Amino acid sequence: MRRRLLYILLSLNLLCAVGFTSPGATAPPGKPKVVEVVVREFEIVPKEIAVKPGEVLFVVRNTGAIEHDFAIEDAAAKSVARIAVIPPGKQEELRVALRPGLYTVLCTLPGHKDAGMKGMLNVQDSSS
Amino acid sequence: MEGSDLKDEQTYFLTRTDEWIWKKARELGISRRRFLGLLAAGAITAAGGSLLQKPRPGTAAPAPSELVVKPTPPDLFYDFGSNKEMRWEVMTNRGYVVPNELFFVRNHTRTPRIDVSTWRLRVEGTGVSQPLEFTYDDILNMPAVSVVRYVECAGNGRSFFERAYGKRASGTQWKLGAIGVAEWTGVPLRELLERAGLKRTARDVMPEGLDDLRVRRPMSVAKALEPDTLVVFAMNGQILPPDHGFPVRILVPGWIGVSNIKWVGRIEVSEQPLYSPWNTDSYVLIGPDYKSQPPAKGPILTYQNIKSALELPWDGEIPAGRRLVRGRSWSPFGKIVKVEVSLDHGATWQLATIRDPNAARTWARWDFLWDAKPGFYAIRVRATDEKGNTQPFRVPFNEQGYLYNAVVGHPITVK
Repeated sequence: MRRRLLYILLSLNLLCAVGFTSPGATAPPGKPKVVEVVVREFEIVPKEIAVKPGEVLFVVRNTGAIEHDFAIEDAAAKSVARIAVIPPGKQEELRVALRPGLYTVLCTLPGHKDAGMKGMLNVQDSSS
Repeated sequence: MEGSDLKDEQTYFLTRTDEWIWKKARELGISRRRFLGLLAAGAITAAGGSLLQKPRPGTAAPAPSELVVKPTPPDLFYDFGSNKEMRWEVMTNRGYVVPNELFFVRNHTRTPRIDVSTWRLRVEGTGVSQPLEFTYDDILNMPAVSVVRYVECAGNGRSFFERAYGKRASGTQWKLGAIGVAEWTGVPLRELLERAGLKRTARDVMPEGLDDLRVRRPMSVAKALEPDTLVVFAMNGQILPPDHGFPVRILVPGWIGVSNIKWVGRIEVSEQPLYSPWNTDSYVLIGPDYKSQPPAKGPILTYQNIKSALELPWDGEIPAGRRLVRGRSWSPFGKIVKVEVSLDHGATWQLATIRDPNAARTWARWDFLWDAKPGFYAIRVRATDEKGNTQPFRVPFNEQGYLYNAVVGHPITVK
């Protein structure tokens, strides 16, 4: 039973690691939903993220060889929140309260977005 | 049959070496002399064999996967991955220019290794009547000039935004070492544009790099035609090193660092305004004090601004006693005419003595005598240029952290 529980926990962790979070997984009050993201030359993994409205903690690891950043922009390309710099091999966190809507996650360093470092962040209630 | 003098080991080795040099030079389509120059500069290590390669101790030839080619040890540089910041204290008791091995590196990705035998520079677009392609030898055989100018990253000083505002601006957290002065030798860009039949209706010129991201950024035709806007092939009397743009880079004096495109393979000349991510998304001012300027997200950067730095270790220690403290100031707008120094948090200021040479678009060296007593200090420097530009005490925050030129307190402990 304990092994089975461990397996389930590991599986959930793996799902978070690949970053596609289920809209049905509601974060308990006070505890933000954790989304793990990898940034590297020149992509953001996962490319699509779905979360419920509310507090989200993005744990962003730079597995590339050069510096990157991580930003969230709304549909009007206005900056919502960002991590200013993530050195190569390092991990930074970003805690943000998100309202329903479609957002873009991207690296804003020169040329990185156009080279592929962008993804979609869908914030919606599971019922909608 | 070869001569009997080849029995001599040294003669034999030298003869074979010479044969190899001729062969490699022929393969690359360049002269023997030029090949030797490139080899000495480390610019064509990939083209060379083992015969002439004699790595210096501790400086093994870098693997292509390495981000930069030259050694950047921590006592000379701050390491930011593909970017390397010069430590200002290494310029103490040096000359006017920054030696190539100490020059800061700003790479958007990694230094590309360019094969000069296949490299070409294309000048094309609606703004020229006769698109042309230049080989490396074509460039080297054109009239060339040498100028002493600074190149500075637009984000030099970026880390100080966090000190001033409590929040970081995006990008490499430089202190003040993302600048260097060098003697640049190259062909005036005007020469290439005129040979390609520059039209009177041409408006913008956009050099494009051969790096992973094809870094490219436009400038006006007026700027491209200035006599010191160059297609550079040599730096401080040496063949342009790979990390600084081999085989050629553009020098756009006074403009922000990214305008000085490295590893150029193409120059687009257009009758229409040109845009790239490097003047719409990046290298623009974004923040509460700046409005968007579509298609750019904010005011587009062109000129740098006036700044100063001390030739002292950052947050380091120096012994107590009378000493000459040195530093440098620079402005894209004119000569430095005044440098003031404060040792008491800006309460009082003394004049530093400016030393020659002192010219626009490069830097002025200066110094002041300090009877340093034990304690902690934040040395402040404020420069003024001949156009009346003075370093401010505050710079509005911008998200990408450009143009921070406010007076900075340089921390130093006297023991």
